[in-house]
Amino acid sequence: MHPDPGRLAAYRDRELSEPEARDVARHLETCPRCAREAETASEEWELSLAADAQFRSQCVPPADGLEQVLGLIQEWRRSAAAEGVEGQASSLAELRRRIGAQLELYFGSETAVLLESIACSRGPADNLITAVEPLLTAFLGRRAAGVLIRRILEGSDQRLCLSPETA
Amino acid sequence: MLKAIERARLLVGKVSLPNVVVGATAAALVGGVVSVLWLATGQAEGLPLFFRYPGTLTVIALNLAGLVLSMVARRQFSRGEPMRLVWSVLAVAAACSLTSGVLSQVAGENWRRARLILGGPVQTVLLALGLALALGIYRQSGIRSRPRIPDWLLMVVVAGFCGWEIYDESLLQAPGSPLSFQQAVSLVNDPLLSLLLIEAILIRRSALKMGRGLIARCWGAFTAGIFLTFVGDIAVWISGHSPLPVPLTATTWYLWFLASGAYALAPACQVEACRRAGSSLAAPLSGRSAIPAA
Repeated sequence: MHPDPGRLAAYRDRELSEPEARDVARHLETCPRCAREAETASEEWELSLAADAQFRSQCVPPADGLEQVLGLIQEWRRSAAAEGVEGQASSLAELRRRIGAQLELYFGSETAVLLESIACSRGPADNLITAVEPLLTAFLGRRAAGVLIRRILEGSDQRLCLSPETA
Repeated sequence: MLKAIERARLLVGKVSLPNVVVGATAAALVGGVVSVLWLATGQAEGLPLFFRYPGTLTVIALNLAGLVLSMVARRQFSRGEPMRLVWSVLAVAAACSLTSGVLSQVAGENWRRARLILGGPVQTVLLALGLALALGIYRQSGIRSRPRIPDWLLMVVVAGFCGWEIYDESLLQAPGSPLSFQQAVSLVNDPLLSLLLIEAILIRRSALKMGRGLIARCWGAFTAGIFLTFVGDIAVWISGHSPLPVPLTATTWYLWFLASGAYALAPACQVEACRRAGSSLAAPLSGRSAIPAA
């Protein structure tokens, strides 16, 4: 039975047990096809090792070693998190502006401010939507309010519009 | 032809309904002013002529607009929604007002009682019920405002006038003689009208708290209509006691244009709000916001 490429690779890397390695060696002596395959795989492996060694020789080690690398990784993580917070704050402001514009048209500026204060006492923008939705439904009807809320939410960060239970 | 109809439909879709109602009311008022000017030329027939035909037609047309728009407003709410019930009641009130107006023009004396009841206590009770339901929705939405001192003062004045009117009627009434039908209707209607005005004051306060949006204007228009009806009622009472000169009496007739216009404007604002919310006519989302960005 011919050994598969994985078994041949394990043989090359000396990962097989002694009896198994002996069996594979015996087969390679009698099977020219498998011997050729093992030789080709071995050559490719040598080539990849040589390429890897060449790449490593070209890499300049950081001046302060591992500590600097870890510091850079931490800095990158911090900036990514800050960008995320800024993006979320910007989406929130956009959502509030959209809601405010609609409330002003249908109810008046005072309602917008009133609902904002109610929502602010409860939490972030998802609460503003929660505060606005019943009002729109009560005074404009389910259908019109649904269309309006969909329009408000179009293009906004949907995560901001989900309640903590559904997010 | 089809293109013309489509174009007309698009045009109607773009027309603001509240503006149409305000325009029609303004046109009626201008007509009234022209007829008063005609009176100044020495031709006394112009003023009664205006109020008998175009004036009456305008009021009936505004009542009809009020009914149709109330029915459209009702249809904008689904079954089970509280505001659907409000608009159902207000549509019936508008139907009563229209029927009473039409009966006063086309029906004879046999229909007088029906006209007085429909346009009086029945309409007032229905309006009071509709406004009470609307106040309940305001309360549930957390935007109902408490009356302030001027509101309380106005309510005291309204209640005082109502009490005075009843007392005055009792003084005029000869002992032992039965009340006429009109007196009886008036005695029932005036306290109801006062109650309605008190509700309107509460709605107005809440509407003022909201701002100047279409919904706030809708309930503000109802308040204005009720207030004008009340003022018209006072004018009728005053002119019943001491006959006023014709031009002065005629100025009080304009109140009914304004009142009918206000009753039609209210559902027009509601329909317009729902129309804009549910269509591309809505305000651009890039519009200015009242909510300050955090």
